[in-house]
Amino acid sequence: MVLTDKVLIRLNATRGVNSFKDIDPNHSAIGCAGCHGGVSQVDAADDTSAYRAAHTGMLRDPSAIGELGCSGSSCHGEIVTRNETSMHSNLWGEKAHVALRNGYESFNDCPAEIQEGYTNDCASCHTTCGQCHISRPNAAGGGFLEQRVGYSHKFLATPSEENVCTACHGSRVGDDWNANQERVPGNVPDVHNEYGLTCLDCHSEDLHGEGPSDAQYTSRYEVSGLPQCIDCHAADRDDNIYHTQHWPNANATDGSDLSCYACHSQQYNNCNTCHAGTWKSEYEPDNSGEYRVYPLFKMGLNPNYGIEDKPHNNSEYVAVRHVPVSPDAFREWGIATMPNYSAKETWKYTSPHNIKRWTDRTYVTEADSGLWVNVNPSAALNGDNGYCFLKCHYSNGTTTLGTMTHVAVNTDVFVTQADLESDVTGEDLSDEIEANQKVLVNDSFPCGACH
Amino acid sequence: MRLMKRLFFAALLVWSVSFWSCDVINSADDNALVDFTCEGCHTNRASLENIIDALNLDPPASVAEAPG
Repeated sequence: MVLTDKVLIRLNATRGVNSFKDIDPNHSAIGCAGCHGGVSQVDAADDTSAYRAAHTGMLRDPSAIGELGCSGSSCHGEIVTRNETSMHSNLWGEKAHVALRNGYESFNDCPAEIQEGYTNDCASCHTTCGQCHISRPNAAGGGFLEQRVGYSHKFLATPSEENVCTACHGSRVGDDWNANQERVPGNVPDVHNEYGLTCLDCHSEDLHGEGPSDAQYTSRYEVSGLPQCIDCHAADRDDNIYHTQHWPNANATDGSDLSCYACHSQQYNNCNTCHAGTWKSEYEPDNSGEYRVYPLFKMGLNPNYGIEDKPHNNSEYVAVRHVPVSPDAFREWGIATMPNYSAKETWKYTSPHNIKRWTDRTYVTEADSGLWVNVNPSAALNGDNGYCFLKCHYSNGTTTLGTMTHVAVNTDVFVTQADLESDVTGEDLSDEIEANQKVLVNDSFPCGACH
Repeated sequence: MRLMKRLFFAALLVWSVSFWSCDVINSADDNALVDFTCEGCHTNRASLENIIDALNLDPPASVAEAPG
């Protein structure tokens, strides 16, 4: 999009759009300079001198400065106040992880080089009121959300999914949600997408945060009001024996607790070896650069399982995604190796937006079942008359049952120490083993359920 | 049925003729910028293009892909 289109407010007298007042009567009452500052009318000889005179002291994005922007009136004060301290606007989780891995309690305790490095390399992804409700976020190129007559610079209560949500959250949420075949070949769009739902059908006020308490959070999953599958699917608990046994209810006595994503996610993007300040130059679409993206599904143990006040603490096994942080990820900031790198796991809880009913784990044919088909005839069948535990229950090949040593099965489903010693890209990630001790699934399970 | 078809095409003709003298999209492209106001400039494509060209304001049209 060229600059002209980013700043042109399109009118059309025939359509009754004669001025900005016809596009947005409420905000036009404030006047352009009322929000943007500058000089609203100048006496100039030509366009160029008029430009210079009019833009003196002008703010490109007044909503970036709360009191001068949307919260300056009584109209949006409450929501803007919440948003100013929100996870979405401040990236508290990222900041907390940067601090903890570098040995500090909080981001504010970090020395100047870390704070400056973060501000330069990471903070540019945050957004403002205007960068969701009027224009695309700067990180996604800017420009009005709509180019149509009557819509440019219109304040849209419901931001565009394509131009706002997935314009920023593209390589994880966007690729998953839309099944980008270049990144996740063979995937199909999230079933909710196929049924016509949009981001805002599930996400609403969680995007604007709760208020100052957000600054205490170390993960976006701690934000209250975050949508959960159970909000709509509570009645599905007894649909089949797998739901009954594995429903995430923090009660392992009725079967291991699995997050919904553990069974119903397709493969998703994982990333390796990104380094602050260099990811743009390192990234190559064909993965030839140092920053690599690859599709994968992995299940791991949940460090938060059963811990009160922790998010998603009712699932013992969860889908985990590799995040691209290596011990020297911040070398550009003068940190050769993070002193407390192992403080947080690098295979992290994830909620892939690529939900599918019959996945590689839930769709099992009778032929897949082989000799196992009569093991538990009372079990409900899935897919094409097979048992889905056959694609999920795991043995690393060392399980001994009486005199029998179990063969290795389903080792690719779980993240294990072997995965880190040589991952799917062939890279040695063994320096991440200590950080992921609470995530790695190194023991076979479960035996007693069948034997 | 035939009458309905004729009425439909007649209505189509009237509808299309009603746009005979429509302005093109963005009617303010005629350089009728007289008052140098915010809205005066930002609704006038020709004026904006002149300024952008004169001051070399146009940045690259695309940005690096967002990583999130």
